[in-house]
Amino acid sequence: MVGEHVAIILGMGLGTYVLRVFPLLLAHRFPLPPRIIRWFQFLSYSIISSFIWFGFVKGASSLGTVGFRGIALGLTVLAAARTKNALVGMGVGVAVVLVLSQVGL
Amino acid sequence: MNPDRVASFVEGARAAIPVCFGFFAITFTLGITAHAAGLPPGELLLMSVVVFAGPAQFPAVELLPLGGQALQILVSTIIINLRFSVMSFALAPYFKRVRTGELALGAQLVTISTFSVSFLRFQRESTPDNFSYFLGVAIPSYACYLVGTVVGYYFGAGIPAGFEEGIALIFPGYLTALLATELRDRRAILVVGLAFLGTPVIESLVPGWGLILNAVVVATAAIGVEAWSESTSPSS
Repeated sequence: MVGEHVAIILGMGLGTYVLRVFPLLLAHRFPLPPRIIRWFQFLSYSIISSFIWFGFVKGASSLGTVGFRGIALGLTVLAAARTKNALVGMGVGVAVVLVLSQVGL
Repeated sequence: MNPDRVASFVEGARAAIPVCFGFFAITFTLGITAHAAGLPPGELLLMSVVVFAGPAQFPAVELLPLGGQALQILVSTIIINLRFSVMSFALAPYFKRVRTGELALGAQLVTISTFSVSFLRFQRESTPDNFSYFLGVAIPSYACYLVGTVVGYYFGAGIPAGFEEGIALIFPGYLTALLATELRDRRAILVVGLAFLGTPVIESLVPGWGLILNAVVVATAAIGVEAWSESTSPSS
């Protein structure tokens, strides 16, 4: 049983590693055309943006929770853009979420 | 040691601090889940070491103790982690002069967090040594991931709900703030906005595929519009 579990875990690791390393080595050996690199840039921005959406909505138990996370998201953008400091923006967003969740919204 | 490499690594390590908090929160929860599911701690730690991908590990720690789920676990892991290929392709142009062996080792550390922080930094301007910057982000993050796994497993019970809520939002909050401070390219800003709005639509149409499908649709549309506008501009 333990051996089977370890084999499955190693299989998960190997499969994931191939997905990570193969494109890196392939694109390193055969440089991509500028248009494809630009497409990957857009793809990357899209993935980051989608990830933020999932991060803010995932685990939200009610519309109210989504609402105060939305407020936190907006204040994060405002604080980061105003101060030009990502850590300040993140701190404001997390503080807003903590305060609002403590007061039971 | 090359001072450029050291300076870039240190800059990356500083940028990794919020990632560490985010990873700690994720793996803390993973540890709690694995403990509740009855997975032995050694197997959980091995999984975090070799897989290093939270979204693929959550279903696996639930399914593994049930037995007889090998194929389902392996297939779901591959499908969930397909996104790493896109990230590796996107990072490759910034690692042009890196030796193949170093790249092969560094590849294990590509996750959405280490990728996002590095990619957004490289969009502003190249660091003196991009690969060292990436390792500076990734190595401390990996360490936090493993520590969080163990701490969550043994000490997971009893964290206040409000704090869990705040901790869970650290990394999305950091990425949002990074986009707000780093993004200057108008087309990229448009892509970020469209992708954010499109995600719930695509996710509701094809559950579980919102992240990748939405990204492909938005990026392809953006590159099409860019190519078209270049071909119709007077200077072309």
